Amino acid sequence: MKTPGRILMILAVCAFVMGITYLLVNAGTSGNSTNAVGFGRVEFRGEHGGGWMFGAIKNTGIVSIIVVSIVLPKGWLRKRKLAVQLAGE
Amino acid sequence: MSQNEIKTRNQTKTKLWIDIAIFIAFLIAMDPRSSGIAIYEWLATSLIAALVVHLLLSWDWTVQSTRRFLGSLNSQMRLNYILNWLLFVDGTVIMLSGFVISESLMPFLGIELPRNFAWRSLHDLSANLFLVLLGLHTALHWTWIVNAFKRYVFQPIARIVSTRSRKDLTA
Repeated sequence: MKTPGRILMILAVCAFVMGITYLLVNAGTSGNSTNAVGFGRVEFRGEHGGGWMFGAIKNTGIVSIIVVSIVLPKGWLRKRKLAVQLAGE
Repeated sequence: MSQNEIKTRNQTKTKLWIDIAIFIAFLIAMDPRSSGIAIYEWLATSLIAALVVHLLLSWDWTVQSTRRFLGSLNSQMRLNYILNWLLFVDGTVIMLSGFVISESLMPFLGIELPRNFAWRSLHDLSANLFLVLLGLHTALHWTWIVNAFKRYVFQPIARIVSTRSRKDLTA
């Protein structure tokens, strides 16, 4: 299948997931529709402590912690396995 | 070097740079105050194109894994496959909920969607979940990332530096 077909396929699956989500959310919260003041993006109204730099560092930190907590033990296990194999030979 | 090898090399290089761009754009999008609402919404929307390219570059892997999922796929590949689907679904939910609560993009396009507070919570929840999934995705592809960085970033830089220092010595 050529690239345009693949793009269409990706977008079709995306539209399917969006459709299901839209139905689920609206079915679960029917009648709660609002245009009230204060509904919008509160994160854009004034400072909420910390500033954007803190947010970026925090998010990078979270990703780094997850990566380190998986990659390091995996590396140790591989080394240990290799050492046991070498000792067995 | 064969045509196939050149093609794979170029694909890997493109994928690396696109992934770096997606990662940086995602970090900016995760912190909307850094850019302002209009840039934030347009940037997040443009991420769709970047993600489609990312998926296209991994197309062969996705097709092969889908075919082998119930059969001979090893446990790490299977975990990776499930995680990629979760990322895809979660990314789609972020996009949709973002469109519904949009304050700049949708009004600009003249589209009005019924809003309720559930969409806001869903947007925040799915974005936080995406961050965790992204961490797991990065961890599972760590070896690829390190190798690609070595080959396409560090080695070319080292080559440039060594050529320059050699030129300086001969001058």
